[in-house]
Amino acid sequence: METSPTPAPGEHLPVVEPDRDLDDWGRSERASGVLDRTVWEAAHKIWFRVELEQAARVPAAGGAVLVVNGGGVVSPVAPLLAKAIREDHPRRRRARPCVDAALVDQPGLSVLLPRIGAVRAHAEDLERLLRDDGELVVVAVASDRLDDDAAAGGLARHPAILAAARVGAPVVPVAAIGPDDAQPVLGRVPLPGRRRLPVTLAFPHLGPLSLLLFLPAKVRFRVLPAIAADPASDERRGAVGTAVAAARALRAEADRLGKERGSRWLG
Amino acid sequence: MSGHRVLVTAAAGRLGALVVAVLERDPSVETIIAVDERPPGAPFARAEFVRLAPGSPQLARIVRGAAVDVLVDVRAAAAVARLDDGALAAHGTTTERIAAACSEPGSTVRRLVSVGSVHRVGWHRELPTFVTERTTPRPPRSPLQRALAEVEDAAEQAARRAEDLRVALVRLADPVGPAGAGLLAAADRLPLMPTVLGYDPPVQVVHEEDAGRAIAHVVVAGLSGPFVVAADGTLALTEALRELGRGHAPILPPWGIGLLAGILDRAGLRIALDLAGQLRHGRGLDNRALKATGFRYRSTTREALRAAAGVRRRRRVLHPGEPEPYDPEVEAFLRYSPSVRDAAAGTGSDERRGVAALEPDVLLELLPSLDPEALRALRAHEEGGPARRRILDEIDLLLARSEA
Repeated sequence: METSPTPAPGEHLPVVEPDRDLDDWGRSERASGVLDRTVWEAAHKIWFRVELEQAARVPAAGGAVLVVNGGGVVSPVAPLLAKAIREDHPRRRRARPCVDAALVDQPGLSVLLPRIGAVRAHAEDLERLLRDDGELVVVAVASDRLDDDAAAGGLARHPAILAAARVGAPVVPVAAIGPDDAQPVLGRVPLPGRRRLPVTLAFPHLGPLSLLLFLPAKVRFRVLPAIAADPASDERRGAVGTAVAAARALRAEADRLGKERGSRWLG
Repeated sequence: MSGHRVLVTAAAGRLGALVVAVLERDPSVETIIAVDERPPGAPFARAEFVRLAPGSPQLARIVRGAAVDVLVDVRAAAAVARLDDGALAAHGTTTERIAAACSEPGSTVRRLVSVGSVHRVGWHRELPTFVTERTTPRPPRSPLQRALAEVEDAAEQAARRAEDLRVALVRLADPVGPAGAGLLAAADRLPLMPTVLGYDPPVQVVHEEDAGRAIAHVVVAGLSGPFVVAADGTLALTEALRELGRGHAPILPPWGIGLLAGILDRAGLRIALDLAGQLRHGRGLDNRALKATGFRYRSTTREALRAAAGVRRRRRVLHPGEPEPYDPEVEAFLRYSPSVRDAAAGTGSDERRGVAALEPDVLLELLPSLDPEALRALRAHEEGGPARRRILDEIDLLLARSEA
């Protein structure tokens, strides 16, 4: 069977209908705008007092994957970083938080998450976002999953890292300090499929309410130099190399940020 | 003149007729043979229609006799567009005969354009948000998917048997038009469209005229390989229903809908699994590969849905009565018999049909309710027909206002 022609990157994209509220990915301009001006604005400026350092290291144009530590089931780090880039980046770029496919498949969340701009962790979708739409994608990884083995086995298999390796998009590590203190993890319950359910002061016993119960830790992000996948290596090897390099950079920089700060709450 | 010699199956259906109509206008197409097991709803301008017996036993003879070089098989897409599961279930024999006609020794067919549906890809949460030509279809689960898979497999096997046969697999999104299709048809039949609580899946369709043009483009441009045909724009289901002017009620439970669909499927509702997939997961489509070959869609998904809703509304007001029945034997007599003196009688051109039958005052009252596209179409119709000055002036005035 012959193959159909592959369109050049960024060409022949669907026409944009400016009077539509939703884009093709399901993001609602109105809903995400309201959330941005209320919840994320309050979280960014008042509750977490977010600071973003070296924002100019985030590419001014084109697709890139931002890997930030401090992620988890109930972590707000991905939307906080997206908000910080929108506020502090010279081009005020928009970033889409990347969420687990199983989470987007849940009733309610399947509508809510796309409406606020989140994108499903699927390699083909992310390839299109990075190569053709030239968007920023935020991947949040748990801070305790950054050792070399975990990075090579877990982060390197993340669809966003694979997609970045496939399309040659840069991976930009962003070290974060503070998100882990906003809802400290007391323990982790092993689940099937090598997953672990975090137990915090509010989760899982308060369910979705735990998303409202964060301690007012001071959050600071520092953007690190971008890591480009080695074009000579194959996709899988390139993804492993990028993931391990990003994890090492995040580990080192998160330690440095921790030593630099005076107080968890005041920074 | 030596252009394409094309045979189109399922030409009596709306989609097949649209494909034939586009091919008829293309000067690079020398001969068009339209075949179907039932008579067409309207005469063709240039194509020759041949009615086949069930199972199309004489298809190979026609192909050989007419030295057909491109065979366009629209049966699967036409059956999906009408949600005609009976036609899909009975496809087996015809599919075998088409494959045989293309791959038998000495066959003149050089290209097989098999037109199916994106429903072949199925529904699953592991599919990407935008299905492309490279997306590997999952093993078929529903009767609809199985039938579509068999049609595609037969085309691929024919290509393997005949070395010089090239195959184009066209997967259409649900074609939307005045007759409705897929979910649109379901939404039209029910007072409220039931949706799944907590889900608002993506929907992407294609205007049926764009679908016809896309298939004709694949034929004329000599393309082969898989192609997804869908209009630009992926809508949420609720957004699509709003464009159609239909209500919806999220009354289906988020869990167990697959089980319920399985029971309905066993009870005889053969499209239940596909409807459940659409209502739960939905599907966006990446149409860029076809656009990269030079094809341009005229309507977005939203415009296609609006046009369909507008036509339905206008049909209620402007219903011109039952069309004159089309009888192929009468048509053949009027076209080809030397006894016929009045050729115009053969085309069925009667000035007092359709909107021409409406009194000017009645028509003038209706004009403001039409959108510019419909006004332009009506103007062309009026100009070619009764050409009433008052009507033409009023249409011009309304068009000038809409452009301002």
